Amino acid sequence: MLNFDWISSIDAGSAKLIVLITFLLPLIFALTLKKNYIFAGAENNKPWRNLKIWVTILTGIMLIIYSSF
Amino acid sequence: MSLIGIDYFIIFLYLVGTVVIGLYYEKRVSSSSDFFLAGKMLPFWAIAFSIVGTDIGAVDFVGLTGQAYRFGIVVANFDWIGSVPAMIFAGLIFIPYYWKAGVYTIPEYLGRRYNIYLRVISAALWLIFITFTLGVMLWATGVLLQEMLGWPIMLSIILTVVVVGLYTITGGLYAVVMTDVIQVVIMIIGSLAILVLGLWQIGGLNELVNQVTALGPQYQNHFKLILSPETNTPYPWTGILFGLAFVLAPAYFIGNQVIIQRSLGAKDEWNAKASMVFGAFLKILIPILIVTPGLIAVALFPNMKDGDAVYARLIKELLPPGLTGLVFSAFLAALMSTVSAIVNSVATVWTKDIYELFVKKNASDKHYLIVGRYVTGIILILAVITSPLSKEFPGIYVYVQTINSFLQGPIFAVLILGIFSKRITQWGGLIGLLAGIFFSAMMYIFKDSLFTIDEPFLYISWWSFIGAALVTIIVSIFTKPHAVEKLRGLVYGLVVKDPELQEVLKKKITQEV
Repeated sequence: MLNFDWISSIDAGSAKLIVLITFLLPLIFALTLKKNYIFAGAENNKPWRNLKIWVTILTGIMLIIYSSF
Repeated sequence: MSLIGIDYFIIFLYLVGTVVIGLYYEKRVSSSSDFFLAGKMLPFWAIAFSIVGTDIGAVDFVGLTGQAYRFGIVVANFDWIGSVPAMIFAGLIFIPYYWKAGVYTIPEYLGRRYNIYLRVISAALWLIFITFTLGVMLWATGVLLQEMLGWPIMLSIILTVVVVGLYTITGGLYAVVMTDVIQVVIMIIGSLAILVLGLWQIGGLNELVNQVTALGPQYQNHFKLILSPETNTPYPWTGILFGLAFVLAPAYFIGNQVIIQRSLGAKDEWNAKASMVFGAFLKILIPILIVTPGLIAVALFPNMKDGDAVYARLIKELLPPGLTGLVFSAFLAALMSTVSAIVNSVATVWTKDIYELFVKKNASDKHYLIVGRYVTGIILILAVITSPLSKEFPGIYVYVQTINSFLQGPIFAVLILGIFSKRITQWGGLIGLLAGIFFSAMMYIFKDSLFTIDEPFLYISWWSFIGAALVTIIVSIFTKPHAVEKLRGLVYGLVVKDPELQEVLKKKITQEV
């Protein structure tokens, strides 16, 4: 059990899918946040300050890298 | 390897420039809040650079490149899945929460949420390990510089400590963060020099993949991020996911004082949140700059026995005069950014969690500012004095890092349960933390009979986290929780959903600034 024997038989493709889902979780969380929380404390609400966009780009880059390698 | 005049000139320029920039910010420090939290004036981009600079030490340059040489791009997981999701959650949930709660340190939070024992235990454990680590880290870097350049070990250590001391004691967190920005830019330029010249010599990225995979079956996994637990590697995907992504990374970005302190100095809530998310963008670059050179070395020098010698060989074989000086400046920059961040955080924890609590309560703000400056100097002197201990105990660097990683799971379990549940009790937290540390120690002692992989620190982190969380919950079921009134401002739901409390905290932060 301590060596994760119960999960180690999963094939590489499924393991990669689990890792990709791990990256999607923070994206889904970020997209559910309300606009006033995202911009709280910001000097203005210009689109570049929207952290949802930042998180989407970050996740996109990670998904491309992990899908490729 | 030897440096010539132009290389020494570039290193000299870097050292003088760092001191001048650091000293420039002395005029911004007139209170303890200025010294410890940069007067809550930091912009997100500077904090992000500082987080990355703090994270990457000089030994990591050599260590990560060497690990990439041995195991391939799987080590990039430490900066990708081992950082990015945790940094997003830290930026969007925890940093604004700490920022709103107006805390200076993580032990301070644990003390307010649980009890004074937990505050003192967590502060003392952290102070002992981090101060000891500082000395060991300085020695390890001194040894590397001696091997590469023939510099006397103590010369490198004293040079580093004097430069860091000058700007950290005078300018506090603002100087630390702003010099970190310069240092990370130098680190990026220096690493890019090796990356570009190495790829140029090999003939590009595709040629790199072809040459490495053509070396034989032992290199078939060098371009895989996900490795099976049956592979002969310390980084199977199960350990990477459960130990690294679910425990060590969140513990580091949510519960490590050295990292959190920068974001607590942000000038507003948005900058605090954005600092972590922007930092994640910078973290994506690190494997490209440090891990790829390890793969370049596989193609260029395939039969090296010692992975730690790879980085020095790359510098020697690839770089022309001038650029060598720049890379060594990057090396010193990586060391200094980490050392300055650690001493500033140690000074904060010591002053706020030990001195203010037990030695002198209710002194003037000026008094705590002076104490913070003295402590910074004393920690640096202690680090120099303790650094030669490494000579007496070979392998101590890895040992200290391993033990430190075992504390992360239990502390993170207690921190996260305390933040999200008001039912968790003070005794649950205290006994859970001690039980988790005990589990870590037992698993480490009996690692050969319990685990099938060589270095099971990722597995130990996960199981010690689970053990600490279970004990905390079980003890909490049988003990009495704090009254809800006492937990106001300390449990997540009670902080963000309490407009009256938010107004009080907002006023408190405005007064401090």
